[in-house]
Amino acid sequence: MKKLSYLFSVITLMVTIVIIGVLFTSTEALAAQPEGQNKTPKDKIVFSTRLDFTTMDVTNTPSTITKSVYHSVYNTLVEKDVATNEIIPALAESWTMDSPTEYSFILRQGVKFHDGSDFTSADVKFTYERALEHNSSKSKLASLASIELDGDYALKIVLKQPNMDFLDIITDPTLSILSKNAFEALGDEKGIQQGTGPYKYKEWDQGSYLDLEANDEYWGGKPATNELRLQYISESSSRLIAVKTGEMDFIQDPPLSELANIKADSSLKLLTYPSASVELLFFNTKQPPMDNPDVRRAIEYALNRQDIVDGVFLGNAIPNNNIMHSSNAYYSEIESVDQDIEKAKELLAKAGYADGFELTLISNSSPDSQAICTIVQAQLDEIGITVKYEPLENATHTTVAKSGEGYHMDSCQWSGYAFGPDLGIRELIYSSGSNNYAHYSDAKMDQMIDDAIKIEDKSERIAAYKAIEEYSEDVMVVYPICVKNYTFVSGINVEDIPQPNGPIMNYRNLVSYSE
Amino acid sequence: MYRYIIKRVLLLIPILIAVSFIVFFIVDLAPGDSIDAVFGNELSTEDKETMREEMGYNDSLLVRYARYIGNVFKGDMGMSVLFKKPALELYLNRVPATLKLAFWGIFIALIIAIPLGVISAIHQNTFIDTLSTILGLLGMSMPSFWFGLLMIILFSLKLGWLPSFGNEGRGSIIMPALTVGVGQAALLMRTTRSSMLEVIRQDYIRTARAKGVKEGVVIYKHALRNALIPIITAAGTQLGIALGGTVVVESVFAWPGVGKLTIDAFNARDTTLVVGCLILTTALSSVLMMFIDIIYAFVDPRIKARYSR
Amino acid sequence: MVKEKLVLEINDLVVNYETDNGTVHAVNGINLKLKQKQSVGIVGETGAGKTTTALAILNLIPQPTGIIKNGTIIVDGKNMLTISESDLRMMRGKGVSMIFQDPMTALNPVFTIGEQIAESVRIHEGVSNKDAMQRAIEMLEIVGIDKDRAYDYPHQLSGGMKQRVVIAIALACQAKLLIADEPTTALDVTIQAQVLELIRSYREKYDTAMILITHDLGIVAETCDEVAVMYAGVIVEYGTLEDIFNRTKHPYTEGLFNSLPNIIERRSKLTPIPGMVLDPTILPDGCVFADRCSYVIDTCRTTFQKDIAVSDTHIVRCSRYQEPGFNIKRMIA
Repeated sequence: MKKLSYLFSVITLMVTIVIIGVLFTSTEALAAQPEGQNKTPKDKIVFSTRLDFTTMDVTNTPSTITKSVYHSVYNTLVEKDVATNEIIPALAESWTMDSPTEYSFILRQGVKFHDGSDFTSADVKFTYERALEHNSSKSKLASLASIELDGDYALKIVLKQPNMDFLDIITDPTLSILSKNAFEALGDEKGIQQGTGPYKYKEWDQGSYLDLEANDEYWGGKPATNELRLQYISESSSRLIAVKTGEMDFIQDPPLSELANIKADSSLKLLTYPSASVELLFFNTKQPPMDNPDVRRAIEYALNRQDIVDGVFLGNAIPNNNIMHSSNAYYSEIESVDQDIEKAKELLAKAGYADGFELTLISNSSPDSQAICTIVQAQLDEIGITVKYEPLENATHTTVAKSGEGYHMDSCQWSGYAFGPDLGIRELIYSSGSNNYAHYSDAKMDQMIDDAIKIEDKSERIAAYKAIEEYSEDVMVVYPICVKNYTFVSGINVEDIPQPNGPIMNYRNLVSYSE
Repeated sequence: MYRYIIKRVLLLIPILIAVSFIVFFIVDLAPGDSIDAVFGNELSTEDKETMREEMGYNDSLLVRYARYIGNVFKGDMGMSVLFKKPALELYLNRVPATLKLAFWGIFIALIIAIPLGVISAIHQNTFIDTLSTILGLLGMSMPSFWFGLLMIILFSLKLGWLPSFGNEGRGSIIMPALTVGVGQAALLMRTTRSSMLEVIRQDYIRTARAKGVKEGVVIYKHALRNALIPIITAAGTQLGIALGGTVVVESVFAWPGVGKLTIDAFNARDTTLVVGCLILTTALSSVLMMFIDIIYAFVDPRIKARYSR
Repeated sequence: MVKEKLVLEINDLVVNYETDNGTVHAVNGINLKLKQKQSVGIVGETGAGKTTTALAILNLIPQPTGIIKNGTIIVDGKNMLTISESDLRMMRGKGVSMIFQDPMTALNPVFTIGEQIAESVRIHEGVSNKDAMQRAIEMLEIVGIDKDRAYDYPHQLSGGMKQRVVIAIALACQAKLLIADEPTTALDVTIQAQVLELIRSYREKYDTAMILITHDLGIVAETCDEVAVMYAGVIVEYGTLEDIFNRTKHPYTEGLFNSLPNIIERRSKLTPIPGMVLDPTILPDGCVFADRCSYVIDTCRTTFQKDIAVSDTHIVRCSRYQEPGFNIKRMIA
């Protein structure tokens, strides 16, 4: 019995020590390591993003994290310079637009796939034709008519109708060039894993990590870091701790509430870039009284973007009054109305709702959207509109929003701006757009969008999109709120993570120095 | 005993068919499908419709179910829409980590729960009993998310003893298993306590004492062995739950278990993967329960006698 | 005067149970002495404190409710209430062993019967597992169970066999004092006789003293030298078999005999003792039996008579014997 009591005391003591230790532990970081004199790149970089790498099936995924990995493993024909928004050479050394529907490409010579096979024009034809066979990628190449090879290192692409976004579209990593030989020699599963990029697949433990190793033969030069590990940590607090302990070189998306602490921490670097997505509110024009422009305008007057930026994103976002993303080359500054409660009430009275009314607001399960909706609810309350808010699970949200039934307003994100101006605008507000949750149908708008895609001259084209952006503000069926920032936290020895291309992260040139 | 096992295995087949149908039905009831959930805005409405047609999504529930179950009997559990990999492969890839976490978790839970429960029982209604009860309640009410993070802060960040994430390297199991174990310990402790309280009042405990058996032996040999059946039952239930995945713990520690896989699959309306995960988890749990039943027989000869009938 | 060595000496033992309904006065100051080879039967109704007395001797009163308020219990020269844990363990099973009442619950269901007997041997004889098992098998044979059954579990045995196993456990280490708590209640009559015979021959062999707890006066008559009649935690009458059976003094003892079926006059009616057993939470000032006694006088309700020695061997606690010439009506022989 005495022994039992002793054992009990020991257990109690241990538990108490753990609890006390835990309770008195604060989140201060470890003391910063002094920076060494001789900087040598570390052999391996470990990092974590919010989402997991999902598949090696290149043509078949919308996952942006997955596409970001493809960007390091493969090359597309042309790529985009994020800083200038210009199309730059990649596997194609140069190209000319022979007519609005004809492009000629000269390909880079001496490029090898990871399996050792040579890159030739046949691979481009193979890749694009393969993409056309897959439902998930064929719409990207919907305008493609034919591919004519001109020897191993030149080819001509013919389009069905003019599409000035064609070069932008083929920078999408899902259109990465695959090896025809590898598919034939290694079969589909292995064949699709052979890219021409600076890194090649090493090991994938689904749900855990993906290891990439440097491609010594890379045509653009061997990357500085020998190995990359993309580790899946879904919980943001855990991710942040992992970078604090030094187990991670950098992470994406720490908890927003920790941003101030991260800034104050001398052993960490915080880096922010505008994200690819715009937070939006849709007015469902199929649902009265949202079909009334005065009601929509009144709501616009009642809302305030800065409150949302401060309240939801703790300042870590940029107000955006344009349905076009500010990082898109075809974005223009446009006028919009500022918050004016009196004006809002006036318009509501004019529309016959002097006493306000009740509306249903839905959102997907994103915590951001849910927080936005709470603020919108409060702001609309000011003008007498009672908002019934229904957060929906993501797949449910898509179904409900597409049906156009049972809601007046919808809060969600849209991020289709990375591959030219057309896709972003078209899917949002074109009458048959896949993301037209306003269920808006306007022949004038459709015509403007259809015209803008064909304009060759860049400044003329910019003007055409500005007109669309202003017209969208006029009809007010989509209320753009803001662009959230991507946040990266890294150790101080990690070189700045390059700016992403829209939602596509660039992991090609990551470097971390050890002392 | 063998006949008993064979009977149990055969019984599993209708159970799995029923489970698969129910899950199929429920996933079908939830709005949205995998095409919308996975491809979202990426594809036009027409493209998605073509995909649905090709993948047979437009057939009736029964047709789709019959096709699925037919393939399962042929050994094909289908492809995940989300990961573009066979559901079986995805699941099996996660099973070792889940088993590891579940077993270590229950091991830790038992190590905490049995001594505390026994001590509570023999010191019933004393300070020690109250203290154990409070500790138990603390363990039960402490959100595992919070407890896990605090441990990471202490053991990974402050002390640098343990890795903060993943299922690799020395000691990576310790914190996830503790988080699972502490949460489960409370219930097991209460079960141990009440079971022991009943047993130590039995006449045969008095018989043992009257023989001059040491008190420790009386408690841990004579009493605990008899108190084990409810404890094993409770531990088996907890273990079964853990086999289905401990989603929160898996998230906090980036533990690659089946729980996250199942949730990710459901969020993507990846019916094939969801049904696959649940069928396999049910099968795994049933096998586990069978083992538990076999353990009963070793603990209690009366049960063993019943099996051989 | 040569003082004969006592195997058991109980002095003024008081045992209470603290329950939610109040304090139960289970044993209220009893004295008992037992010499080697001697056997005493304790008789009385259920709840009279017989089993509590037995458990007190082993210092096995259920904790934490049971409290030994007063008294000493000396077994073979050692005070069972004050010796150390380890000495107490050595006394249990070796100094004094007990045959428990209910064989259905007295055996641990998860160990083989052989193990359960061997455990006792192992503790007290310091022998190896194998030798202890050998000894257990011998014990089984002594109590008339085939040695093949040593590896059976209790649930595989009949009630009578279980009782024999319980007896085998108690006899395994040749304790100086054997307490048999209703050893035959669970058995049918033919087996009863066998079991009693078994105990008797064993005691003869090892000169074991015995306390036999029962409410069967017939068994007492067959087995015991002396008899203690208990009522409400008190020994109301104590004496040799002759004293108790033929020179009955206490009204309660008389009541016990009257409530037995009369074998000679089969048509005579059974005479139960009137009234109910005393509420054990209330300890009266006067005689514990006063409320049910047909000889009661006022004095009985206010003072409780101390022991009156009727003869060298015969003690009775009844104030009416202060009166010269008083006797109860029952007169046999």
